[in-house]
Amino acid sequence: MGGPGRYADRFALRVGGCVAAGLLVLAGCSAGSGGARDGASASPAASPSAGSGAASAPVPGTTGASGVPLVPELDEAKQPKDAAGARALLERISVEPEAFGPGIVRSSPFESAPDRWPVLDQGCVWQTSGLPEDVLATATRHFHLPAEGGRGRVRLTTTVTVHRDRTESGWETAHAMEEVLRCPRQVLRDGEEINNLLGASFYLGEQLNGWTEDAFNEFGEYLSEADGGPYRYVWYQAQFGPVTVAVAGKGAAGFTKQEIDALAVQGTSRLMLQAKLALAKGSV
Amino acid sequence: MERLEPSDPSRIAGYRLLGRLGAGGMGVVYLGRTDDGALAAVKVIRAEYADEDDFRARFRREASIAARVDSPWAVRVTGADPDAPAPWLATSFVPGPSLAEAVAAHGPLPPRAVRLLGKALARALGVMHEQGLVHRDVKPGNVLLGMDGPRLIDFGIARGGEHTALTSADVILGTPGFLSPEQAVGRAAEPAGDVFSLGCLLAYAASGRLPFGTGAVDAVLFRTVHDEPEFGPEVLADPELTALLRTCLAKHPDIRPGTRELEESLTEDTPGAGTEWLPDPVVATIAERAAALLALPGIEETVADREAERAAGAPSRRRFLALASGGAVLAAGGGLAGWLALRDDGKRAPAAGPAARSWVIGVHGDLSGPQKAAGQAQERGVRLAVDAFNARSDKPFTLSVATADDAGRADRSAAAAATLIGDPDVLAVVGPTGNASVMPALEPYGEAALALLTVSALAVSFGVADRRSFFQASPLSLGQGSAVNMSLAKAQGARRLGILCDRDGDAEGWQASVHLARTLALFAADATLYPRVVPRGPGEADLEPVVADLLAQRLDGLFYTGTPAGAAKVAVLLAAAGFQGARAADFAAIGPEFLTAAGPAAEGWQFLAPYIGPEAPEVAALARAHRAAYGSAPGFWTAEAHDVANLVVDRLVTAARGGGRPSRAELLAALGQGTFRGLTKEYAFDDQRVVKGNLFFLHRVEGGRLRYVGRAAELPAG
Repeated sequence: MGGPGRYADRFALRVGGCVAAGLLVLAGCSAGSGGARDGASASPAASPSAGSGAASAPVPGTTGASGVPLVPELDEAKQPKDAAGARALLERISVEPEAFGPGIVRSSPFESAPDRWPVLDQGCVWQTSGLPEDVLATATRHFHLPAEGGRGRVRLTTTVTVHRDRTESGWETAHAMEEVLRCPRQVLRDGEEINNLLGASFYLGEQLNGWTEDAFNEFGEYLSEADGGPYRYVWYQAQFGPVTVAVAGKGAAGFTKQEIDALAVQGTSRLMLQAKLALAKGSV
Repeated sequence: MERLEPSDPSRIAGYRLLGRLGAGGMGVVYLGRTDDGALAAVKVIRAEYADEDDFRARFRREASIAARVDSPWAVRVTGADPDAPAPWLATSFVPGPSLAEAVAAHGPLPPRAVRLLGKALARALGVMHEQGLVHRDVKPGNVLLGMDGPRLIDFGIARGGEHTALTSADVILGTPGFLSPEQAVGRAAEPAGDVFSLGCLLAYAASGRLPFGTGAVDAVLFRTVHDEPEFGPEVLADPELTALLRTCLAKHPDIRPGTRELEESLTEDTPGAGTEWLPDPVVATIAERAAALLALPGIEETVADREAERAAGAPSRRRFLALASGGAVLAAGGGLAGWLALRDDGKRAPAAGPAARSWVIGVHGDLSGPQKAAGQAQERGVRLAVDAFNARSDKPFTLSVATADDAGRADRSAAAAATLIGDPDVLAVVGPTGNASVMPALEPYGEAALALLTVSALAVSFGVADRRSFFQASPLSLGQGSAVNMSLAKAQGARRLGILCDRDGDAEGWQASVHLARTLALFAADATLYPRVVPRGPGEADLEPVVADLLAQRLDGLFYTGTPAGAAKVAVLLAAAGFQGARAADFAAIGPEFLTAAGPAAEGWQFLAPYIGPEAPEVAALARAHRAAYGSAPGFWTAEAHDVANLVVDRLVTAARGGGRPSRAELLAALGQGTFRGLTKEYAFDDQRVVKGNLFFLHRVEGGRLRYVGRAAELPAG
């Protein structure tokens, strides 16, 4: 792995660098590490069935400087109760390339198999299995910014996962955080890996998070036998009630961290907005 | 946005500076705030550019142009000083993306938004044209999208430098592509050129495409002069708009409409109240940027340390700094030690001078709230240090202590800071106690150049803020992760460690968990880790299945981070299961509440804390003094606050020997330099003003009480 020494080298920088975390990454700076998912979404859900009843509702009434509430009240009646309802909700939330801006196109294949779920095995290699019991539906879409003008291909994936309620969303994030702790180096598939993962998670009201119930992000280095590296790897995740949305970004030659992060933040913002429109009280 | 750098000013005219929006070759753009709370973008030009021929004249002329553009759709100039050594110009701050950023991020605007955009910008340009002014650089990067409508920015001021937008996403688009044909061939700009540029801009807003394409500059300019514009399908779908844009993009300036005609042709209501003019993703972007501003320091009015301002740059400052940083005078503890040496020689240290003022150390703490035990313990540590100093018969000055209680509440922290800052005799402040109090206090202390030294607010980040006065004099709390590894894995031999990160605690617990995970191999290369994370939820019942899972892993060590109640719950569950491995908890979760709730199950639990045990031999004399003064043993944090107060005393003594009472700013600079040997550790600060080293102290529950075990070594270099 990247090694504890490598981490220790970065530690001091991280502590200082966090202070200057920009406006862009509202989830805040982080010294955490990240479980990486190859576009497919969250972590293997163990059995959260024994968890607490309902997760606590987020701090209400958080508003932006303009007075606009950024996290509306969840309309629990709109939470899907079965897989069919969840798939209909996915349709409303999922985005097309335009969500990322000009130049981004669909990759092929565009959508991952809807009945598979990524699992990080004991050796920190990503596998897939069937959907866990607490996931009603999930959808992962693949996009890219084509290589051009001496710059490489930037890969982006969106993942939207629908649970029954906020409690199950919370466990999905908790398991993703466990992967961060367990595996600083993760093999996405043969010839592709991510290294030196760090990450952070902030509930609404913590640090700079004023826009989602639970902001979870990871970042590290992406390495590819085909494309080289290390390049920026990011995973930006947000939650609204029973829905988690996330964008994974894999950098390429000629792109800065900030450019990759900006794409991921924009995609996540858009997905989060769609989720709020679909599930907030008063929305149609 | 980035934080201010040490060389940045705190204030420019009436603007308190909060951070840097951007920087480039010609200068820096700051985010500023007026005393009445209005945000502004303050652009400051580097002095060397200001000295170039005719620069000031041009700057002055263009600042006056901008000031004359009185339109709701042009960004308002709120102040300028072209004659300052570093000329500056301030405009009202719009927390929205530029049109370039919005289209790049979210795609084209819907037709109605395009027409509203055109209408507003035509009005803004109309105001300019009526006065004989030409913008000359209408492009998406120079239009900010606000909740209530667009704003035209950058009236050619300091062209070639960066503008006042948050960021520039228009590097690819550049200005060619918006230039009129007559400008492309080098003719002077006329109002009709602005209309041409606006036509290009609207086509771009509607379709994401430029009517004369992108690519090499000369190719774009060639097409601008010779080719017909090409519009995207979004434009072509609206014949009325297509026709209008074609006239705007006519090759001959005389054929293009005037701004009034253009505005009247765009049949939409002018944007006004509400946010409905923009698509939701753009609104979300604006809202998020606006939300991020909430993390900026508050508007609490503060009293500037005028003496410090006067003293800045004065000869005494250099003399003082030379003393403070010089090796001979300031070896470890040089000031105090040197003075004591003088005293032993029977010589008098120089007096503070005639009309001596009070020398005061402030304590900003939670003295009545949830962390009052820690806050009061720190106040006592400071008082004991000051009392010991004042007891010297030949002291160069007499110290006193002033306190301000914020009750651990963020909303009272700025007021507590203002109290201490407003007392001109306060030279440095020890505090605050808890993390929540930090953010609101940073800006006032930073502006006043009044050092704020905390021993117990040890979070890793406090957002975007002015940290220039803020010292963290104990290691950041996340550093306990490696200290846990050192104690449990290296010293006690645990090889199968578990982590239970309970998110009922704050985000710092997670940071400590990550730090533990990433440094375990440094201490025991063959150790394995089994991490679990539990989301926030009501009560502690959700811990039970997770603890059962951890127990099933045959662990020989466990670290818990979360709340006192959660730690007690875990302790009870582990005790019931007969768990024999090493048990450690986040120091923030350990205290009377844990001991009471866990009862006998607390026995044997350990924690690695940034504070030394009050019964440690190193602090025995302090403990005796505490007993004499207060009739009881000291609590946690007394020794650390005592150390930090003595650090301040040391630097003050150095200053007194070097020429008298230092200003706040001089003391602030001196505190960040050199080293100081306290009772608990050596103090030296890194460039973030965090104490160097990762020294933690091991404590253990024995006989129902917290017992001090000893110090853990420092984190080895990676």
